[in-house]
Amino acid sequence: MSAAPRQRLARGAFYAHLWLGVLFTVVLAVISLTGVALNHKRGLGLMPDVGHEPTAPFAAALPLDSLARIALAAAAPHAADGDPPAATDAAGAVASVDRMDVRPRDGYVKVRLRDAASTEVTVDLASGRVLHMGARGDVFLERLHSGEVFGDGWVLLSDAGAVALVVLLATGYWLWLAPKRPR
Amino acid sequence: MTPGRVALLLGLFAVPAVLLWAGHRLRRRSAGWRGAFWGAVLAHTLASLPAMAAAMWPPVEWGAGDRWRGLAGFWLMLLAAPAGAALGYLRARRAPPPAFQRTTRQR
Repeated sequence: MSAAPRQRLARGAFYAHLWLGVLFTVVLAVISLTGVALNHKRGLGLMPDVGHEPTAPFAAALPLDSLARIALAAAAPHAADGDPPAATDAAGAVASVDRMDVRPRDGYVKVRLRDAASTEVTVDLASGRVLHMGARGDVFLERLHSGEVFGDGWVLLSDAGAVALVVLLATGYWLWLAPKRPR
Repeated sequence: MTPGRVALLLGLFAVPAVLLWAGHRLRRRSAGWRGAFWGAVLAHTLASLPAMAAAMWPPVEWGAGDRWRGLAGFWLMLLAAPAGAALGYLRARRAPPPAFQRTTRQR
């Protein structure tokens, strides 16, 4: 490559590195910090780790509908201001429950509610006893990490951050190694 | 798109872009310009810290009535930069010029 195009390339790499670095500082910092927090979600107490052994065979488990209602009844007194009132009937369970994660080997089901804190109630599959209840902070952080927390199209912000990071790496290497290349 | 989200995007991208433009050939600019530039850079950098903290903590969805979190998370990075620029400009105007820029009479 002759001197002029190489100089233009170096100049372009420098400005791409400068502009992308400055423009995406906060976005990449948030993605990095939420990524670290998600990697250590158990240690940081964002995700409860409930140790439990099955109390009965899986065949003796209560129906999903009953387990959902037990969870909703347990969470109702702890609902935060602004959360929709969690109904404890079957229709309310469909509206208020985000998902149910059944763990036959541990003998419990994790019922996650559709509230601001993503409250999760861990219920014994056979007895219906509430083993644990608390917020799932990692759900919010995951949505913030992806940008989804602001709306559906906002994942593009996270995509743009990822592309910016790759370009920063490429231009950084170029700025470091290109001047050392023999001419 | 809500005004808060527009403010977030402006604070994330428009403010740093303006700062990059304003920082071009900074040494040739006036003392007031340089003061405004450094004031805005400092204010934006400092504002990004509570903005990031408000975004992440507590790890629950933002409520419509969550005014402080909305202010810090959505608006602070946008509003802090012009405020810092104004303070930096005023400070630079009040401060005496550096020795190499003073006239013989001022020395």
